[in-house]
Amino acid sequence: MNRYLKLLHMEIHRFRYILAGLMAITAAVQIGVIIRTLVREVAKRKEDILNHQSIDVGSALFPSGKLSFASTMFGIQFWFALPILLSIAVLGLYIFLIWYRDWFGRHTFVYRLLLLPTARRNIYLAKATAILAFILGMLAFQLLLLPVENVIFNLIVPAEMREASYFADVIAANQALPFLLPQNFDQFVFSYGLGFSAVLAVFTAILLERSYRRLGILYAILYLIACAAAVIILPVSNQTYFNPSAYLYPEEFFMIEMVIFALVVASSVWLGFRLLAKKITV
Amino acid sequence: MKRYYSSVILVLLIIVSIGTYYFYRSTDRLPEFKLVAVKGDQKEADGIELSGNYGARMRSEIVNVTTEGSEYSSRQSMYEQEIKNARSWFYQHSDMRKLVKEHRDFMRGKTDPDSFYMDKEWIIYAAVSQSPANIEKPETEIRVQVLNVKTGREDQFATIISEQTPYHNAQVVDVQRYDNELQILTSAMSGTEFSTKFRKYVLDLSNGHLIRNEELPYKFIDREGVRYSHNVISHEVSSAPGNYVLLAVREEKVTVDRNQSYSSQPIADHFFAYSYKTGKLIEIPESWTAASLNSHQQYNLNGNRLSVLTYGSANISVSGYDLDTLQEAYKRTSYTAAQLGAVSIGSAYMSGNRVIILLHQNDKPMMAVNDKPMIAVIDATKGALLYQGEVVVDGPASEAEEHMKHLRLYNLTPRI
Amino acid sequence: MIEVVNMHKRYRLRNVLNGVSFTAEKGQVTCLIGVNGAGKSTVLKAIMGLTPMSKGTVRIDGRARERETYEKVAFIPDHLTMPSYMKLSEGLRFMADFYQSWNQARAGELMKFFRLDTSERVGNLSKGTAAKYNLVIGLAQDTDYVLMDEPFSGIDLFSRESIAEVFSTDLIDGRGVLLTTHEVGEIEHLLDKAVLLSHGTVAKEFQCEQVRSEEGKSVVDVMREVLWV
Repeated sequence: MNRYLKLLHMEIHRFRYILAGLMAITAAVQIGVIIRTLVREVAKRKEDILNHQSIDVGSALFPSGKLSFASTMFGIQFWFALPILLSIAVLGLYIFLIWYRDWFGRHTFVYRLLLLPTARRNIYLAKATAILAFILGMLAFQLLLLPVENVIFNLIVPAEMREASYFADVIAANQALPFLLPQNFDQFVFSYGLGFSAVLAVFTAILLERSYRRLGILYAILYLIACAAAVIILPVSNQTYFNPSAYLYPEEFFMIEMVIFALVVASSVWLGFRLLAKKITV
Repeated sequence: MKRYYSSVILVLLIIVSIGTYYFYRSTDRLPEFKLVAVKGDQKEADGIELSGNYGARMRSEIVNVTTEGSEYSSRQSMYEQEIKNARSWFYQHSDMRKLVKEHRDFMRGKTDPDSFYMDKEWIIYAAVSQSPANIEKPETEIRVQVLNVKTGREDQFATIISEQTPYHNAQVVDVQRYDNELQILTSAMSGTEFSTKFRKYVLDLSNGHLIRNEELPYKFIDREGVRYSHNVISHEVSSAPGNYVLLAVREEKVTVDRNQSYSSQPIADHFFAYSYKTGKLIEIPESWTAASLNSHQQYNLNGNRLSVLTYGSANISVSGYDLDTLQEAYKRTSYTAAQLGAVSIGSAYMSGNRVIILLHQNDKPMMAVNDKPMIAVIDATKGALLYQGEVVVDGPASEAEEHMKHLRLYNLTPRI
Repeated sequence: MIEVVNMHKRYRLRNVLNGVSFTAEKGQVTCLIGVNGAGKSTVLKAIMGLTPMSKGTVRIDGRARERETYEKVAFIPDHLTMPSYMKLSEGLRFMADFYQSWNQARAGELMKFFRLDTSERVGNLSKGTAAKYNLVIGLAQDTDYVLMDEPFSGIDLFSRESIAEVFSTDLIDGRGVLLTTHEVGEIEHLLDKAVLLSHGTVAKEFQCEQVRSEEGKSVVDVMREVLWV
């Protein structure tokens, strides 16, 4: 346990600058676009007032016509989401690089890891936990940014032009956020659990490639296809809950899918452990 | 410990941030509503569900209200929305729920309530399909599954019947059993004329062989400028044994203007009861239906009794007739919205002997201003007002008015 | 004693190792000798579990390899395997974190002996300095055995002399050393035992001193006889 934690810390520590960089870019771009949009909008409204034009023209989602943090979020979809997409891309890439970086370059650190007097599975677990920590960390940072951005909003927009927003509405206003931060905690665990199982399957595919090299690429692809096939076999054979003549009842369909996912996770982890312990080659 | 700062900060960040978010969310409660009794026994309101939306947020939230409280679909997990509530239209039927509970394997893949027949001894399911419309020899295939509850024996039959003319879109409308005869009523679109045909297939219950094949004397065929649309009303409890089935036919005038846009105007409504025993269509007297093309009408068939529910925004009435004797089964009951303690009637449905009515305190129920949705339950046979209830905010009184202002409930979900 | 019994390894349809068996005793310096590509590195890596064997057994003091083995056997690969961004001090701390057999005092001595700057980053080291640091990491562990893969190859002369000096200090004393090289000539005087690897098997396994005194041959002579067939 101790060695696992030390390995986990090492993985987090060696990625800290990139993670901090992603956070910084996210903060900079989001705050930047908010400031730019609001300063312009406030100036425009001030001018409208001078020209005696009505400024409280509402829309379907924002009937009062006043500026709110939610309405601001609604108007800056693209720029707000851009750093999020960038982070997803970088983290997605790192799912592979967290392994491959130990093999590439002049100083192949993988030797050092494999020579440690610790169960080899701790290496696997540390890397898996680290990826999870990075994903949740970026999520947590985005959550923290929102109230900060709200304060900035309050600072720029004068009180008479603005109204308060519900936090739930702020999240709903952007198209990307409701997926990343579901309303329901059960749904959160479910979605991220599912995503994480995919990460574990990819880890095992990577280890297959690293153990068998050229043939390993084939094994890796076949393994991923097998996992994907297991998961989609029910929906594809039209046994989903929205097919009225399906043989399975909806709850049965769900349970079977969950069991399949559990099996995919279990087999990925077991296979990954075994490969790392017995078949891996530097 | 100091050198582990990066990991510790990250973990703390995650726990604090995400933890607070979900804890805060669980306290960012959308208001709770509830249906409470004003008069009468609260039990009369069990199973009544009002639905609509709550508009105080940026996007209006779909909400359902019952005597137990309210539920917002956006706050449910995907499992609750998709799996637990799957096929809710099917599980609304009490007989279907019973069948699934008692005969789970028999019921797999069967989700059409009209295709079932259930009595104390037999459970029968019939499905119909037909060959494509342009084949030389059109055929209909009837697949029947029979379960004898007393003996536990299950049988399956597939019977192929040659047709003289091709059909498509065949559906089972009702299934009945008389002694050893299985009578399956189907509707299908004729391939040659643009009209609907109703056919009754009579099969031998013990072996599935076709005994006879009748076409119902339904004589409405679309012609130039006139279109007929039909609606078959079978028993309220679709699997129940019975002797009748109702046919509602609407005659519409159709105009196609130069831009190929199509508009229709109702001309008249005709109602018939098909009697299984005699095989004849009985025309239902106009006086029974009091048909008005401007009000809502619902027909409910329960055994031999036909109940007619008519309502507009100001009043509602219900009457019942015995199809065997063609006499009134019970006296007509009428209420005005005012008598029920409201300004307008939103919608209503019948369930057994009872009429469930959704009422509003204004005459524009889609506007939320000054509305307090109310429910009234009437016993149609006795004409008595069994229950009156209203939707209130389940929470502090100080916020109640603010929340009610944004609540718009305009649908009743029937639960049979 | 490190025992290698009937080690086989296939690599892309070729049998790189085809039944290699030999032993390396504690307190002796054993050297695996062979031409380039003979599979010497592979043998060491297989002993350390860095690559799988298709067949065969490895025993260290009579036991199969397990995670505690890494506290008893140190491996010094042919290149430095610490990440480039790490400072030398951080690398030493990494080792201290994970190995109970790490001897911090000795690490310090070795760093001084090789005149290495702890605040330097791994990525900035020259080849010779990197090799020295590599040795520090391997030797500062209090292990019974040290395996070294080509410790002298590609290193400049002065660094090489420095490294060879280590062999005569008490740092090596009492431990079992197994090393590989293809340049025997320069280090012949350090060796106790030689194992000649050719065509995937052990061509000859012998004690250097014994052969020198009995047959008057140096290790290089034996090599010429056996390997150039």
